[in-house]
Amino acid sequence: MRASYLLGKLAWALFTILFVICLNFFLFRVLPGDPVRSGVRDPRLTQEAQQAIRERFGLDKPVINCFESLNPVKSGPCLINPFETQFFLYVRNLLTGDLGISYHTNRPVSTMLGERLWNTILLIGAGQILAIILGMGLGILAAWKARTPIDFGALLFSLLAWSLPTFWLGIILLFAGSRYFNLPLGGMITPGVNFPGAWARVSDMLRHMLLPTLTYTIVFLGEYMLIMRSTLVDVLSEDYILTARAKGLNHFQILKDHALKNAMLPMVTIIALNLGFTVAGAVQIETVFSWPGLGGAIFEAVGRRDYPMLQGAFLLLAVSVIFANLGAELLYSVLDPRIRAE
Amino acid sequence: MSDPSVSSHTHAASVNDRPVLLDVRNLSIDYVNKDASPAQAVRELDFTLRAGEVLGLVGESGCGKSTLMLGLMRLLPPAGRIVDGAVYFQGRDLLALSEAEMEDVRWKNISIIFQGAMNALNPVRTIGDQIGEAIRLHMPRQDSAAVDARIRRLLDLVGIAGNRKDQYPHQYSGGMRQRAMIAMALACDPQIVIADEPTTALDVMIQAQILELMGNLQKELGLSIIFVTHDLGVVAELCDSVLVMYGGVTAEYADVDTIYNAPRHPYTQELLRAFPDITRPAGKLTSIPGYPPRLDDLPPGCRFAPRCPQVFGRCRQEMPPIYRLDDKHVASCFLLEGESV
Ligand SMILES: Nc1ncnc2c1ncn2[C@@H]1O[C@H](COP(=O)(O)OP(=O)(O)OP(=O)(O)O)[C@@H](O)[C@H]1O
Ligand SMILES: [Mg+2]
Repeated sequence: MRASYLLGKLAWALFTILFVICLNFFLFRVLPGDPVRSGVRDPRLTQEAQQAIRERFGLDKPVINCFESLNPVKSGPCLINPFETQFFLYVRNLLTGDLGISYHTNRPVSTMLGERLWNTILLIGAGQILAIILGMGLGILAAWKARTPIDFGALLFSLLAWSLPTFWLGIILLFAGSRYFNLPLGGMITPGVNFPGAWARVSDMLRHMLLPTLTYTIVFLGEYMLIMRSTLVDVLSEDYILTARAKGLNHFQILKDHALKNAMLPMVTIIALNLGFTVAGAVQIETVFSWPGLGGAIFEAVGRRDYPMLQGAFLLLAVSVIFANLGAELLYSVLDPRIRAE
Repeated sequence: MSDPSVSSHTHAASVNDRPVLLDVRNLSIDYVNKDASPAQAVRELDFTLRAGEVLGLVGESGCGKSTLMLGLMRLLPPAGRIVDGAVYFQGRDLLALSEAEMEDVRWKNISIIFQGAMNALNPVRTIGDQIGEAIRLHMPRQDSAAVDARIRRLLDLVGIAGNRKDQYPHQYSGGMRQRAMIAMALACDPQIVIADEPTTALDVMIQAQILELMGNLQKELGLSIIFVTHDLGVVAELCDSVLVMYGGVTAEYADVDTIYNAPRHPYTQELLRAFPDITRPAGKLTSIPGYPPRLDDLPPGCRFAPRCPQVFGRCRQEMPPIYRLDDKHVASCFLLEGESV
């Protein structure tokens, strides 16, 4: 692969991240409402206490220039030290990995996001891997048996899986799983239990994971299957597949050595995009199964107007989407020599 | 192109003494689609191909040439069905082989260069890799160094520098891609190469180069080639015998001199008249009025009857049988009824 291609992509990703940082910063400054008043929600708070909170969170500082804040717009004497603005402090803290303090819990946002992030990655990683394996497998089978009852059955199943509302599927599975298989109703681990050993703990967690993972797998499997099937059907009608048949390769060799690599190109894009959005969590699934993941955290933070938390979560989300895209492009260029040459 | 009517075929006579490689008998192919009556794409086709013989297959677009070639290799699309006939290759009926046995015959014994083969190479694999794949498949006892050397030799044979084997198809020009296809077709020393309009997508200069290359390779390697083409000049230059198809059936089949100098079927005569010939003054060029018949809606009698300048009553009612005019000259036209031997 050409180094300039790689560097170009990397530079573009970094530029996008910088842009997102700025956007993310100002987005939360133009939101209406005073975060201190609405965040603390205590009408008895004295002026002094309010001011103390503002100072604690740096909200007494001007946002970026002569305006005390962007909203309401008010001009003042221009004696601002640029190193004393909110924007400068934000960027400086960001570089040291400090995403601010949650208005709600008073704990560092980075710590809170970190706790939630791993739960989400666990759940969604497992779900994605299963969905990719099963969806692609089913798609390959359907394309290979195109226009037969097997293909029809697989298509019907996938269309159905794709169009099921996530929360509805989750609730049905939750109901069925807890009623007939005695699976836990939600959460990640049974609270208040002293587990005798590591294995007991892991198996308890796996029982909690089963239903949300299954829901997630079904939701994504349909999409992967449909895309795999349709690209593979297209690829199998290409001239080079006829050449491969004429060369005396058997069905399996044609699929493995000629069709799949070409059919993987669109799949890579879609998987990467889905993985990027993983960090946002499957809000619906995490809500239905009370899974302590990022999606749930974002949902709660919106309700509490916990701006630093939201700001941190958004940044994390945006950065992961950008990196997933970058990963897709790099993988793409490994798979497709025509792109590598450009 | 040289003048077809004076071309000399010194080895044409000797070709007839060589052993028969491929013997196609009574081959019929239908396309079966759900909501239409079966299209009779190929009907009762007979021909033979001897070792070292070049057979030209000519006919207007849609007359079933590609269908016939794909049928021989059992590579028809799902709708295509071989409904009758036999294809003997060195005495073995290919149509009776299992799929696995047929996979063994493909490319090792009979290879094919496809029509407009711009997309016939896999875009995500290198040229050398794709040629090597065929070698490894059919000559499994070669080690990787031998395969590599063979790939270079094959590329060299078609005039491509060996170090370009690690390039991808998009890095090749159209003519080079077609030459790479030819190299690939020769990878396993096949007895027969089928070339289905190998030059249609190329510009005239490149066409001439490719044709010259194929002619040289044929002589050098003693290949048998079935050359599918619209270009009667190519036929005159390269071929020993010619099969003229019309609407899925044989119109006329003879050696190349007979076809050019003494064609008997009105369709062959019209085709030659429609072909630009530098020995005749310009302006005599004619095209055959009308279009080939639709295969799912064939006329009851001779398939050429609606366009035939010499048509008479019987042509519209009965399908003419194939008349044998002499040892190696057959034609399907009622005008020749009395001359059959
Ligand atoms: N899958 C199919 N289903 C039905 N009919 C088909 C199918 N494929 C080809 N045909 C028909 O079979 C006939 C023969 O097609 P074929 O491609 O063999 O012609 P050809 O002589 O090779 O023409 P060309 O010179 O244009 O390549 C055509 O009339 C075509 O419409
Ligand atoms: Mg054709």
